[in-house]
Amino acid sequence: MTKLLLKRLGQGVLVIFVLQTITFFLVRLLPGNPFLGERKLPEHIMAQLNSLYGLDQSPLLQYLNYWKGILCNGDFGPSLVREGVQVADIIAQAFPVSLWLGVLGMGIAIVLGIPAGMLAAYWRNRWPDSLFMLLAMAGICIPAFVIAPLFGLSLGMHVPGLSVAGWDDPLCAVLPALTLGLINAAYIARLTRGGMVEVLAADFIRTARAKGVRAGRLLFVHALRSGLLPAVSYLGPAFAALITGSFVVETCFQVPGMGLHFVNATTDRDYFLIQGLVFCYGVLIVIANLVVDLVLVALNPRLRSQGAA
Amino acid sequence: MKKNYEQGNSLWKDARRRLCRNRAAMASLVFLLLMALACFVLPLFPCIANPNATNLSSIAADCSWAHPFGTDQLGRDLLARVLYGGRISLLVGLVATAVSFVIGLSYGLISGYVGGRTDALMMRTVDVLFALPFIVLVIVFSLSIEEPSRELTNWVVEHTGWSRESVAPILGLVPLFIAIGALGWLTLARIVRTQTLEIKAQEYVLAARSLGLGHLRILFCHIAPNLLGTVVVYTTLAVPGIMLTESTLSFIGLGVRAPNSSWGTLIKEGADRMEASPELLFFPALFFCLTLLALNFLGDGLRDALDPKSAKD
Amino acid sequence: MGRVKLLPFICVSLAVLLLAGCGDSRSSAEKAAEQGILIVGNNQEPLSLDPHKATAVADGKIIASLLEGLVRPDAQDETRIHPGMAERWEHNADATEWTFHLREAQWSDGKPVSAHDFEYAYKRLLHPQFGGKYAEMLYPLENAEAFNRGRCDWSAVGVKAQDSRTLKLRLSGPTPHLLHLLLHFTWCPVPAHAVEAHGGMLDRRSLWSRDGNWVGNGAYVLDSHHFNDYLSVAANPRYWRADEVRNRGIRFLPIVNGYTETRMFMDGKLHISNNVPPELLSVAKARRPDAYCQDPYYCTIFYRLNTTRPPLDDVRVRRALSLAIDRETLVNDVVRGAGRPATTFTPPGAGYSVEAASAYNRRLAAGQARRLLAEAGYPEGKGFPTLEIMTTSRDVQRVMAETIQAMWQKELGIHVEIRACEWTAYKAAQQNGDYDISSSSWSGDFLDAATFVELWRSGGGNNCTGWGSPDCDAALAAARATGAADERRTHLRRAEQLMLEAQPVIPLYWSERTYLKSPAVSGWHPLLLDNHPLDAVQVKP
Repeated sequence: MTKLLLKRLGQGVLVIFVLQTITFFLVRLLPGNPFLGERKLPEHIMAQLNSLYGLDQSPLLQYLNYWKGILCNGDFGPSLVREGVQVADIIAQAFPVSLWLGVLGMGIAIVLGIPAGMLAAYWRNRWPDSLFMLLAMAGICIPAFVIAPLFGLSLGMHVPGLSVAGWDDPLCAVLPALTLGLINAAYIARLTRGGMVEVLAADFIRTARAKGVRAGRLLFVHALRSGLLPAVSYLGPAFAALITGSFVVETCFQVPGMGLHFVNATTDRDYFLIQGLVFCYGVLIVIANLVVDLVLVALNPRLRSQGAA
Repeated sequence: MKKNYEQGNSLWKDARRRLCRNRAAMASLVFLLLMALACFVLPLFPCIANPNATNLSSIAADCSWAHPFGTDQLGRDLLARVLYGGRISLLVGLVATAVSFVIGLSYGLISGYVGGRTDALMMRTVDVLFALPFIVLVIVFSLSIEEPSRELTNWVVEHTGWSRESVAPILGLVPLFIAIGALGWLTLARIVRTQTLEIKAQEYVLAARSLGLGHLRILFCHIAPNLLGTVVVYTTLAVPGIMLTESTLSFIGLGVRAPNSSWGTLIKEGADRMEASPELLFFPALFFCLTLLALNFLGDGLRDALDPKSAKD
Repeated sequence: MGRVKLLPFICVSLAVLLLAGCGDSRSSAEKAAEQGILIVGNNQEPLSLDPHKATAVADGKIIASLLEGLVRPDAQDETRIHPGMAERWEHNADATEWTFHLREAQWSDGKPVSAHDFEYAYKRLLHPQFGGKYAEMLYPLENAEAFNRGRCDWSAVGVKAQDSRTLKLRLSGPTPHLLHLLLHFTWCPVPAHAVEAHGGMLDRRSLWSRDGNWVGNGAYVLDSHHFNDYLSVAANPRYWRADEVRNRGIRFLPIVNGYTETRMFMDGKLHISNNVPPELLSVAKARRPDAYCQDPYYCTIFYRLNTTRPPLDDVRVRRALSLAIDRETLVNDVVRGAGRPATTFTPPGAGYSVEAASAYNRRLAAGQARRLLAEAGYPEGKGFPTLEIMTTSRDVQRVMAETIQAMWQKELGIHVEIRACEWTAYKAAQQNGDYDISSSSWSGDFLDAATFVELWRSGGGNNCTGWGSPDCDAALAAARATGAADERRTHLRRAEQLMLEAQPVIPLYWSERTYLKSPAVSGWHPLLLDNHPLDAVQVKP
């Protein structure tokens, strides 16, 4: 197990390295540059800015300097658009917000999604199934940019304590988390149902059922393990995406999270900030997928024998 | 039944039979066909207005005989816009999903089946692609594709004699198909791989292997059918996301161009105006949701039909 | 099962949360008003609070409350200018030499504000090694441009702190409207001692303007700043007019999304919003008639035409395109009345107006447009190449382009495409001249027509149309050379008329600001430049 973990961590470092490298050159292919203002800058000032931040050097040299900064000083560089602010400062402020919202949202999603999917599978093709799946489809089809303002206008305006948008009160997290949660719950419910249906048709479940195992035990002990596989594979990347923020939910609810920075840094060509955010996201993806694979192995002993994770 | 049993049905024939017996799935299939018909054929009749004809004297009008769904912020007939938008969205849903389905399925299968170093390499590649900022990729891609796609349009216009206005909206979607298809398969590949790993370890695969069957045959004849159920369920789940991604991308210049619309852009425009004129959101969202609901029932039906285990029923 | 056990748990915890929330039913705005805090929507996250690095409108609004220049604006009448750090001033006959006498004032850390701080600030912004993006704002100073380009020493530049209380400015030409220029944040002083303490004059990464380090001389000091969340400032006890400041602090909320902002206002989250998008105007007017405001704004919405590309290099084509636009309709139906049809480029105001050139009709003149297009070789639009209107991804711009596209199709029989671009791609394409028609806007930096007309100097950085005319340049030069206000206006008017005749742009409308202002707010008046001195604004609980 330790060996597996070490191997995966090694691969993770490689993934981050490749990711950073591709991103580094990709962002420089974007049209425009970070200093492009609404009003045109005189040539000599543009040149001055480029040389101040080393953007006039050859890309390869810039690339080496970038790694030098990270490896020698742990410095992700300055924001090129919000000058005087370090990328690390921005992430340090935004990440906790997104993390909190993501954990809440994922909590809601799991708490609602997995039981709903299980029940739907258990009562397959009967009314609870139809009901849950109809709700789930609604959650999947109605985009976040519709759900979020609808929640804001219905609950936010009228339920005391909740607010349409903003981040000045702990309760402000309720609606964004609910939006994120419901959307993900819908996916999880659908995937759980799919997995469970598959498992409930398997021979060992039939045997168990024939032996008279109670429904609860059947579902939770026998079926859940492999029934959750599809949902768990989905959960990993989804969780990583969730805690790095969602642009739509953050703009609709005015939440100061990572999603806003992701999009703004891209449209502003804030090279180092994009790089830092992608780094964060990459680390989370690697960790999430690693955890998912470990959980999969734990859920399904068959995988263990292959050392496949 | 006995007779059938003796003849020995192929998996696919069985599946078709089971699908035909599933009333919800068949109703959904009929609905989807009708929807496609409505979007692609109905606008050819003169009773449907020109979707891009503005009429600033009747802005955001209520439903009437002339405009069954009312009109939008520029006085354009909403019904016509929804139908024309359906063309784009259905096309995007179909093509981009098919692309990502094919890539995701084969990638996941191979990765899971081969295992070892190859698997690790392939999955870490997925990790990298997953973490790459989608918008950055799309902007760079749309820039590099701009010139070729313009040439393609010119070529088609020259060689077919069709008018630019009718060709451009459809051809403009090609880069979009590539962009979405090329990145939409990542989650699917992960799911397929996990399932493959599980199925690979099962007795019947070992049996097939010990019988000396080729790897490809095992992969596509023995493993793939067993995970089709999950794959179909996930793919139908991914369609709404893909259709909505199209609308996001159209706002940064990739995909459908104004004044043409898709369901995604109509819903986005409607969402911005939901307080003032909710029907601008309601109708496109209704078409969108009904179509996806039908697609989903069909997906479930397919899943049930393809499930080899239900053959024993 | 799982669900049955969890459901009550969720219900109970939600109920507890709600009850906790019910304890205080007042809205955030009400609570803030009780503490004398004003909450203002500020459009976007500021780029920087350092006046030498800031460029955005949102930055300027915050800096205006943190730093005070030589003069300060009036809360009601923009043509009036009050003494700020300068107690009094005098200038020579042709307004090329100004002497400012500073009052005794303190930075927020107790150090005296000196004329050397001003000189230090101007030197920093203009320094060739600093890369100040808005250095051009100081180019009216003698030799400022040469110094900025590294061609002369600082001693040659027309700024001199004669002693700690006297600042002399020598300008490169007569500048009777200098006081209006001085209101811009680039002319504010910076605390030399604080900048030096955080890395020195030329350090662009300097942290002196961050919360915790901030030192200023304005009505407020920086309190705290959370990216994308809020920026709060608190009344500065050392401000020289501290007793006249009518609130105890301000919270600036960087709300980009106008829909979110409007909904937040309705929910009692702010006192003054920044912008109500056109789609919500009818709702806002109906639900909050007491709060709805619509003020004229020193801003023109227009289309740039790339005059280097055929067929737009033909003035007849440009004029035909302009004549085929029905501006009344644009204003009434697309922006829902939040503007006035533009008959000239510079919005009327500040004692300046240009008689409408023939090409700009409020209503469309289709016959004339068709005739011009036919003369240019495209009768009924036949053979006209497919041009592209480039817009940003903003909804208003797209709808506007769709409307104009339909108008041109109908009146001229020509088809144009709409290309939506992401923001920086749009800026890059516009500044590189890589477009046919570009959906643009321009808002004035100061209350003088020059801020609009100077755009059209040949080769000017913000011209971007490839157009230029020696006559127009000569008129602009003549305007710069004269000290007499009336004569200056005549030259500017002539330059604008020349530009309008050649029509490198299609003015569409002069936009108006639509926003919501709580009835509890007083001391806020419509201002053309939207530079509200927030110390004059009071919010009643």
